[in-house]
Amino acid sequence: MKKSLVIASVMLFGFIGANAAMTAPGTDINNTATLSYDVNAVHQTAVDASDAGFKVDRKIDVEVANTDAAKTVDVTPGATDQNLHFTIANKGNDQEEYTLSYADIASGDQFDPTNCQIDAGAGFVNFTTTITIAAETNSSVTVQCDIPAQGTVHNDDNGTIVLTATVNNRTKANDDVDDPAVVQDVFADGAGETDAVNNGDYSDRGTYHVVSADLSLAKTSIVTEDPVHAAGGAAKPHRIPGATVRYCFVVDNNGSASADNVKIADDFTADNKSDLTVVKAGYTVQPNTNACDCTADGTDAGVAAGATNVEITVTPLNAGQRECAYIEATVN
Amino acid sequence: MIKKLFTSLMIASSVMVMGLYADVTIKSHSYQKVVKKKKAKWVKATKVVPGSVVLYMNTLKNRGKETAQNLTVVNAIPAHMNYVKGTAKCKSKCSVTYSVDGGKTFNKPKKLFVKDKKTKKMRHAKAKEYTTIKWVVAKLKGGKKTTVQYKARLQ
Repeated sequence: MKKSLVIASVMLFGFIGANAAMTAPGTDINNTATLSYDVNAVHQTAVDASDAGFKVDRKIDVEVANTDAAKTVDVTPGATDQNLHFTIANKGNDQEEYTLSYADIASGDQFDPTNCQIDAGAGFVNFTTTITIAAETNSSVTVQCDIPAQGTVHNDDNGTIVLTATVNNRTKANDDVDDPAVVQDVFADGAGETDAVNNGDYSDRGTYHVVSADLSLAKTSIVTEDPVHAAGGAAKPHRIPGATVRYCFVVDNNGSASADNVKIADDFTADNKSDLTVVKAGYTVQPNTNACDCTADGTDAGVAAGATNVEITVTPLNAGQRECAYIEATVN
Repeated sequence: MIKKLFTSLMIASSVMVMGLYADVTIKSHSYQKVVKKKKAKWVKATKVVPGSVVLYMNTLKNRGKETAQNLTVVNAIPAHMNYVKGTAKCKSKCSVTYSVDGGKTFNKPKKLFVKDKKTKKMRHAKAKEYTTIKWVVAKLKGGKKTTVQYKARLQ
C-alpha cells in the first residue's frame, strides 16, 4: 500500500493538447524564462527575461505526385481522352494559388500525346490553369490527352508529359536579408521531375504506354496429294490437275494486347486461282512458340466447298498466340 | 532594547549588502541553424517556418561578488513550439526536469505521463508534449556566467 502511494506521488500527469497543425504565418513567438535564486539561503526576487521573438514566416512548399501505378497508364493507338491522375499538395502554412502547366518530356519517350487538357475541379480546360489549395491540404487533378493513331505509335511506345505546379504571387525571401518583424516567403519545395529545389514549384511525370496487338502474316503452300501420288506416300505429290493444294497462313500476335476479329481473306477469283476449287478451310490457335502443322485440319472455318471469296475469322487472338490457318483446294 | 534594535539593523543591512553582491541577471535569446556553402552556423532566429528548429539560450550572469545558489530557471515552451527531445542542457552542473501541466509540477521524463486522447489511458509523455522546462544550477560564483538552453521545433 505504501509502495503504491509512493509511486503515485512521483508520477506527474498532464493532458495532451489538440493535434498540432502548422503555425500560421504572422504568428508571434516569444520565449520567456524566469530566474530565482538564493544567496546565503536567502531567497532573492525572481527576474524574467524574454527574447526578441520573431514572426512565423510563410512556408511555400508544394508537391506534385502522379498517383497512377508506376506513373503509367496503358492506352491503345488512337484512343482519345486518356486520363493521368495527380495530386497537388500544399505542404506550406498558408493558402496558395498555383499555376498548373504541362510539357512533353524532352527525351526518353517515343511520341507526344495530343490535345491535352486538365481538370482541376471545374471540368476539363486547356492548359494552363490555376488552382487554389488551403494550407496542409491537397487536391486531385486529372490530365487528359489523346493518343496518336496506329502507325504513328506502336506497341510498347511511351509518351510522357510533365505536370508542374508553380506558386503564384509569392516572392522568394532574400537569403541574406531576414526581418523578424515581417512575414517573409520562404520557399521550401523539393526537386521534382524537371524543377529545382526551393523555387516555388514542383513537377512530376505521367506516361501513356501503348498496348496494342502486333500482327504478322506469312503465307505458304503445300501440295498434299495428286492423282498419281496419294497423300502420305513415299513419293512427293506434284501440282498437276486433280492435285490437292493447301495454302497455309501463319498469323502471329507479337503485341501486348489481344486482337479481335482477326480475318484472313483470300479471293480465289484473282491471281489465276480461278483454276482452283476450294474444298475447305480451318485453323488452329496455339502459342507462337509452336510451329504450325499445315496438314492438320484443326477447327473448321465454315467455308463452303466451291467458295471463291474465302474468309477465316479468329477472335480473339491473344498476345503471344499464333493462328495456323489453311485453305484447301484442288487444281482443276 | 536599543542593543537589540541595533543588532537587527546590522543583520538586515548585511543581508542587503550580500544581495547586492550576488546580483544575477538572465537574458534570453533565440537562434536558428543556417547552412551556407555546406557550413552550418547558428544565427538569430528570424526566418522561421513550420518545421524550423529554434535554439533558446538563457544566459545567467552573476554581477555581484557573492556566490548565488539554487539558481532556478523556469522556461515555458512557447505556444506553437514543440520541445526537441534531449536538448535541454546546462553549461554548469545542474538538474533538468520537465512539466506536462503548464509548470505546476516537474519531474524526470520517465515519470511524466499524459492521458491519451484516443485511448483515454495514461501513457508516457512525448517530448513534444512537454510544456515547461526547469533547470536548477547548483551555484554561480560572483562575476561568472553560465547558460541553460533547449531546442524546440515550430509546428
